[in-house]
Amino acid sequence: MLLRVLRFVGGLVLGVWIWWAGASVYNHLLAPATELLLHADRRLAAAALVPQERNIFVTSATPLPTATMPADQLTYNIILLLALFASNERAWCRANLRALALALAILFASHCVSLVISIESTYAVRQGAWSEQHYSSAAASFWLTSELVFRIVGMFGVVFAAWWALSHSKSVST
Amino acid sequence: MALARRQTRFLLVFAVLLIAFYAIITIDTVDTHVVLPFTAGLARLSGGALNVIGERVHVDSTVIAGPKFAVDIRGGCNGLEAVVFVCAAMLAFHAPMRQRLMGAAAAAVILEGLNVIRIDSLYLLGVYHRNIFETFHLAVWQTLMFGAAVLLFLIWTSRVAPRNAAESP
Repeated sequence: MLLRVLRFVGGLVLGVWIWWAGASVYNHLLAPATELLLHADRRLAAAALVPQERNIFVTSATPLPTATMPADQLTYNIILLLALFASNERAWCRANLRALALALAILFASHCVSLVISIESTYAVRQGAWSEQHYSSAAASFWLTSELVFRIVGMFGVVFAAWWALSHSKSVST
Repeated sequence: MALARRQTRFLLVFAVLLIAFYAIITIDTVDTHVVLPFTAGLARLSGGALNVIGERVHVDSTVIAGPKFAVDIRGGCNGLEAVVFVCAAMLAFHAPMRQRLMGAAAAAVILEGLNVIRIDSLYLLGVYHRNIFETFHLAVWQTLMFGAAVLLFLIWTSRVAPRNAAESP
């Protein structure tokens, strides 16, 4: 178990470095993918997501209010994912790396969804009269609750589930 | 990549319990009568520890304040999310109920002990190394808390279900 803890700490340090150094580059991948999802909501169909260092700026040519999303606060669960996969035995074996790649793809999809939830929550609750005009109170509560659930426990729940499922899959355990 | 039925059931029950437990601690009545007093107690404990090591702080409800810096312990920083997380995982796991409850209680105590260290270290970072405070507050300690929750869960599974533990990654 001690070795596992040490591998975990090693993965954690690597994860912090990757998250810190790579956040702005990662936002250039995250913004266009999330924009496609976001346009499913007609209220935000004209929104454009522009990555700006560690944030993603929501802008539009229409009267849609602008907003700044602290994207790095939605993506730091990658640190836990890397630490958990580093803690696996034979962390560098091909099966573990393949599982990690798949988990990273799942994490990317979850980041797109969490960014959509955060943007929806921002526009539903924090845009004053525009929010009241475009979102019912039930919709505003839904988006705010979704954001809280995802940011407090959901983002780590996704990481744990992805690691657990992929590390217990037959291709890794055999 | 096939998952055994038991693993799939575990993940589903874990997800349901995680959301249910989190929903419970966010109910206003629970927040007012349980979470806030608990957080204030945590602040007193953390403030007491800081005073022991020579930091002159005073505690007012959930705020620990010193001459140069203050921290307000809010939802998300009282360790309850990690406790909820590990409780959901242990209760979802296939093991005798008594062992699940004992494991969850023990993990909660250990995690809250770790949380006192988190709060005190964040206060000290705020006083002496404020430039790295946010990184530790946001990324490092949150990850460590949930990482500790996962490790406690793995240690517990290796004791209550050695056969499953052998299958663990």
